Amino acid sequence: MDIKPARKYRGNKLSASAEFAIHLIVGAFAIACIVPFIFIIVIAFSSAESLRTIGYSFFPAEVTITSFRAAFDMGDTLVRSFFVSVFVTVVGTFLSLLITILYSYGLYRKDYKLRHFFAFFVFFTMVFGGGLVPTVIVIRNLLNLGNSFGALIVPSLFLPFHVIIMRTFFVTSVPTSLIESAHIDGSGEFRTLFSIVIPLAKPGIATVGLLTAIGFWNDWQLALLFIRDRRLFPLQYLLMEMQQNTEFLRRNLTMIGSASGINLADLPGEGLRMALAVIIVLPIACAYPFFQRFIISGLTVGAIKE
Amino acid sequence: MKKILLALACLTLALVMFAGCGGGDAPTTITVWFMGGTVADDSDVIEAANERLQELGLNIEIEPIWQGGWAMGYPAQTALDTGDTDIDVFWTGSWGLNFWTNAALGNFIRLDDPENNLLAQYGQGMRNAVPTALWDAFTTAGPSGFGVYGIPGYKDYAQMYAWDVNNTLLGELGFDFYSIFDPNGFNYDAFFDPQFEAAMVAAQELHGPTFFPLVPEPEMFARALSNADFDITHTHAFHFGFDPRNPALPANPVIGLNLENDLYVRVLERLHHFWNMGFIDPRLAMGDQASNVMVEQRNAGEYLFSAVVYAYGHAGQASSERGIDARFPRISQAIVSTTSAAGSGFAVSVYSPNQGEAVQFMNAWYTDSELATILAYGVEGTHFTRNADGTITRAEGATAVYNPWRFGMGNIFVLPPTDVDGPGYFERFQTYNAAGVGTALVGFVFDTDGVTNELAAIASVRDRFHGTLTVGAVDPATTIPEYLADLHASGIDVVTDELNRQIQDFLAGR
Repeated sequence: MDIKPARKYRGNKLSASAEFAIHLIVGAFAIACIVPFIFIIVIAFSSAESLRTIGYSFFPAEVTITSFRAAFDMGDTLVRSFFVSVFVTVVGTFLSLLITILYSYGLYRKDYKLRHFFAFFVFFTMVFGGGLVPTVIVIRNLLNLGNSFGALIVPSLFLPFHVIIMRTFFVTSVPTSLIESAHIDGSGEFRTLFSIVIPLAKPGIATVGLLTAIGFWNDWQLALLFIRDRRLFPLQYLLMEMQQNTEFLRRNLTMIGSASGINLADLPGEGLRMALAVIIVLPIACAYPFFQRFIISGLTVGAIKE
Repeated sequence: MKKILLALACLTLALVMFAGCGGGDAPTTITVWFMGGTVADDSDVIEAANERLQELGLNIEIEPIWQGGWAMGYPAQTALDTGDTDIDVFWTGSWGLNFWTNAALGNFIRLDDPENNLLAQYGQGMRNAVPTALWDAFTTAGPSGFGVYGIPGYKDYAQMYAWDVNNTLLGELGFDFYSIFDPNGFNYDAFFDPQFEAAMVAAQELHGPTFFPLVPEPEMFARALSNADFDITHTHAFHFGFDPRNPALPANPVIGLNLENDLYVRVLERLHHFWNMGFIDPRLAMGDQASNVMVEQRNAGEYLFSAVVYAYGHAGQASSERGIDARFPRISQAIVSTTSAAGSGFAVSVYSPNQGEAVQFMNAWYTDSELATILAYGVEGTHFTRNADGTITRAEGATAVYNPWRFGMGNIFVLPPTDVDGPGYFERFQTYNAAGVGTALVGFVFDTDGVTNELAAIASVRDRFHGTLTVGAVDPATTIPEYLADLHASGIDVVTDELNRQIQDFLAGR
């Protein structure tokens, strides 16, 4: 009887061709993600003359820093908006993380009797939103937060999805026995949370923190709804307003008429808008590498069942 | 214990009384959302404006909002939709924050409401200062009945189609402006003049094939050259034709389709001929890029012929901006239409808790030259100085800090002209406005309630054909039959009937 030699166990190892194909696909996807940003940078460095004559191109006829100079010529407006964005992102992320951790920890603790009740609130509000008008009325009229930093921070402080992510991190990375041991050793609730649970859940906190920070940094809708004072405009809203301004005037030339005292030559050009986009994206892009270590370990938490 | 309670009660009463006294003296803040402009810091200006309001005996303060700039319609509409009680007065008009839509929705109060006629109580001064034709444009149907729902801005309400000619280049090419255009006539037929084409051929010979001498604005170009007013259905499908010499006379007794108008089709055919000759930038046929390309070409002075909706004073402004001799020979007589008359205005929000005070403020602003000057130009000595000839000179750098859209600042005819405008500017402006002829349909607003589905379907058809057809990119001989067939299939005949029925009712009522 012929005994076939046992096939070598390859585990999850892929064949060279499959690996090549996957690398190709993932590589193409990565390029597709990065190319638009590179394009924005190229346009930001293209001269107005180049944009007018050859349009958008990876190889502009003339390279210039005029657009960045024009952006920095905005002086106070740009600096103020930058400060607003940074302040809202830092304070908002810190407060949001604190609230998310406290809420998720409650849901994680099996000995907390009301956890199902509060879990229902999280799930329900994740599925059913209040809608724009009630939200605006609550923030502006009930909480009286219109035209303040509060309007840019408070509405995004508590995101149900983040609570669910954080709770999952607690469940998968913090054994219940550890909490019990801490209690036996005399640790109070806050000490247990801040000295034992949080250090263990760092990857999860970093992941949620990055998501929250990106959310605060990129938000312009709250400014649109609640902010009337230009001194409180975040960078994103400044860019959006500039974009809408230009597009609106150019699209409505027919309705407006040629003059009416409007100087179209004064409108910000494509280059300036792209330069602002670069200025806006850079800080958050620079922050990402610092979080990357946590994000990767955060993504793998819970992958293995013990 | 009783004594303590009594003392507390007295203290509370006293506090309530003092609070009441204080509240009575506190000025009412009127928040006004303006259109356009560039305002980085208005603190000095608002302080001066509030002082002036006190001098006028009004216990009112103004708080302006500049948010959104020219695109203020987006955030302002959101504020209205969410019932924002913080804003009392909104800029509104035929573009931007749409006046008729918001009046119909009940977002603006009826100013001449028989039960609470704020216009009669507080607004007689501005009522008299602004011509009746403009009030008519802001008179419409709303939840409180047919009446005045907005305060018209008093600016350039007459508009005119005109050629936009780069006369510097035309001269370099050896062509005489007067041999193509008649400065005293109406030049809609210059487009068919052989010299018009010859000049463009010469321009390309001089500057090469990437120079595009003709800049037709999509949609508007063919409308202007076929002597038609803006299509108030916003579908660009209907031809609101008028006699170019006397716009009060409609070209046809009933409104028909653009594509069934002989002159309109001739313009499209000619445009396609010029497209094939390579005279038109291909990017003009590319939807989103078209307006950018057009504006850039004009601003750079890299064109020979274009057409614009001209308003007073544009010739000097365009020439200095572009560094060329830009000339604007008339295509038709200046017209006053619903769209032009409602080009700028203000309305009091239905959510405003200070509606009476808002009208009082508007009345003061429209009639008091000093208050209007502060709000339009800033503080004397800081933002501008007055000259002996009655003009003002803006301080260096002042417009970078405070530069609202002057034409959107209420009644511009109470303002002094700038030294750039020159003395007598506003008198000349008034003459220009007065020369505008009201179209047969000025004041008419199309009620789209019964035909919204058809209008949406027509807009979808229009988006497929109109952009390319109206810059000459496609052949009218093959495209028009297909375009027309799709328009009829989308229900345009229903809209045509409804439109003409409403027009007949409007004309009969007038």
